[in-house]
Amino acid sequence: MKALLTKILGDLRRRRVQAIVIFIIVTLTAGVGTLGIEVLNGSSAPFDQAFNQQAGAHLQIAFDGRVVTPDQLAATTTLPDVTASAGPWPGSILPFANGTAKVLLRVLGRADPGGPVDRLQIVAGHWASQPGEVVLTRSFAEASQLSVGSQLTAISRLDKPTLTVVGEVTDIDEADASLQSLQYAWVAPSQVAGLLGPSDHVDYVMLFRFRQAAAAADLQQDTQEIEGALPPRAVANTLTYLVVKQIFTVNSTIILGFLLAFAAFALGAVVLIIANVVTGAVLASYREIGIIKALGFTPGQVVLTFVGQMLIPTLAGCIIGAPIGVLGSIPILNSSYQALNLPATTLVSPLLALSTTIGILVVVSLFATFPALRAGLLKPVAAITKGTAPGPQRRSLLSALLQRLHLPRPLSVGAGDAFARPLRGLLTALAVLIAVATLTFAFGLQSSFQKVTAIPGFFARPDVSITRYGAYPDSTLMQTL
Amino acid sequence: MNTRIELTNVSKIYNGGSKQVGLSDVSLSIPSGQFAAIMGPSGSGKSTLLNLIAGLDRPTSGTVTVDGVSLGGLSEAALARYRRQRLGVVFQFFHLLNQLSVLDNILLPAQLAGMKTATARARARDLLDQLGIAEKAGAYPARLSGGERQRVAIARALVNRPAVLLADEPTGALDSRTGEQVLDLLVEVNRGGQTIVMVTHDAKLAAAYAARVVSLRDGRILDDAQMQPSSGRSVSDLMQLEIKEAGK
Repeated sequence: MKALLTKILGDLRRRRVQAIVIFIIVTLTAGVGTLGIEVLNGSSAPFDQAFNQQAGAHLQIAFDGRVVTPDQLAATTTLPDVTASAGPWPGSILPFANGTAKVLLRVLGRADPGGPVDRLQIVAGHWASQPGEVVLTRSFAEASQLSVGSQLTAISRLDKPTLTVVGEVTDIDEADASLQSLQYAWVAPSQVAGLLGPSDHVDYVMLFRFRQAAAAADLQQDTQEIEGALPPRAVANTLTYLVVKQIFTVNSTIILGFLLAFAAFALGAVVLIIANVVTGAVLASYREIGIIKALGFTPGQVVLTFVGQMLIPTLAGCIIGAPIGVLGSIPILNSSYQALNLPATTLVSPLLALSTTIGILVVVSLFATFPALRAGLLKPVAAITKGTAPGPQRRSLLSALLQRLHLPRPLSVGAGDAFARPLRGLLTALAVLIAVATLTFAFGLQSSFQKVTAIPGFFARPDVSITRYGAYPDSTLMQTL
Repeated sequence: MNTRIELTNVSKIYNGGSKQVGLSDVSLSIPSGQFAAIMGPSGSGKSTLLNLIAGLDRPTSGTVTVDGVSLGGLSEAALARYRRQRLGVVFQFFHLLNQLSVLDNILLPAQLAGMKTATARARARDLLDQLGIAEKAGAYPARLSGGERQRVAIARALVNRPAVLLADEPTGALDSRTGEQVLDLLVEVNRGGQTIVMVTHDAKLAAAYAARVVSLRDGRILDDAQMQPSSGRSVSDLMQLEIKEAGK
């Protein structure tokens, strides 16, 4: 073992440029790979954890208050598949003014933040218990630059009642305000009627948990059961936790796609470089292979000297790269938490970083072993003889072809020599191909995105949109127009 | 004396473009503690013989036995273990590992044999002292003269106190004075009881230093001479033989 280490370290000193290249590219691979795997592992776990902690709703339903009564809705809580429910809470989608900005909020009259479903977590202030108070989601408050004490003006009515923000909460049943534009806002139940405009009506929102809710089909069946228990067209709108979860992980999924693509490119480059370096090292070391065999190195130990030369810089790269990947995953996962209005409690898994490191070491070992086997199988005498007095060099077919084409001599000799060893030539060409593909992917993707988003009407948004709210009489509207 | 090395009807044919005979039906027995020189012109089969004893190559037919163990039945890994435990090899062109220091070159076989680090270092330092190159321990082979390199190669071959020391033209790349110094060293090693098989094409050196000179030509043993005073053979006899063979 010590002899192996002495030989490996000696060879590494001689091949330090190759070792540095391998170290750098493995550091990148381990970093990106670990980052990707941590994001993959962590992107849905916090949602599931928080969903259980806060007793999130499997299904949120907004009922049309003109079609059903609270008593009819209360009967749905006894349906066989329903294990827990909350509501019905009266409310409506109402417009508010925050300075010059106008926003729509789904206002709900809810007496307290707890209960069997959707236990809201107050992160600032207190719950709205009196008229004139409102509680917002933290992500909406942050996005709208509102905080406890700020005021929102209801523009659903001509008298424009003002609400004071008294609390901020995190809510497992809705995504970040940047991803889900219609956010909940909670007021005291007695406040709701005072916010409705002349054309508004009361809706009721109920939250349900079911026995079977793992798949979209289960939830569809549960929705149908509830619809069946109510008058026709009672259900105005539904939202399942699967959709919320999908919105929650959308950022991570996009990032993950990039990360895994880059990790795959980098790993491809690593194995090609390793195979190329070892193939070259074996060809250049015939004499030494013979000498160490004469000294008593077994064929296996000879193979290990070459594999070890690759494993040391690889291990060093993993030791640096994997922790960088872990650290890099924290802000990405934290942003996922924030997207769901959850406190950032990201827990990264060192085991995943270790698995990535082991995976890279195994792949590198494999791709170093194949070309190194040639060294192990060489006969000692043949190795020393070939290494000391190499035989005539094989003539490259490419070189012969280029000569026949009467190309300039430096070109035919240079290009011919490049493929005198076809395997090495192929490995080098593939490594260059991967590098070009990576760069094209990196720059091409960004410019493609820019071009796609620049297409007129891509987001199907009008240039100007005018909505008339109840707070504005016809005269004001005509003046504006 | 016990037989250390025994070759029985050994032939070696190289399968190149044209089949070339390396050794042809050679039988030879070298007792323990003997300093034997294998002599002959280029292509006579000297190095082939040495490679077969070292287990670096396998005979086409016949058996090579060292200390009662037939090398033909050993796997490549077992042959490697055999070399590290029983043999020391000195090559004509030194064959040091250029990326390792002098000390590391000498330590390598000791580490392979599992010698404790402190013992190996002490042994290596001792050999460097004996060979007069103690101050070169940290130097790299490229910085050494030919004589110094061959001393390092000898120290590397001796570090494990091998039962057999094989030397392939150990003075071939050295000037005559340095060559004599190297051979004096080998004689001293032989006095310690180690069996030495030295390949050389220099009859004068063979006769002056070896106790037995085996002459080869075209892969066959031409002459096998004991060089003790009682044998009645002299350097001039050997040189005569060499001149005669060269004239054929």
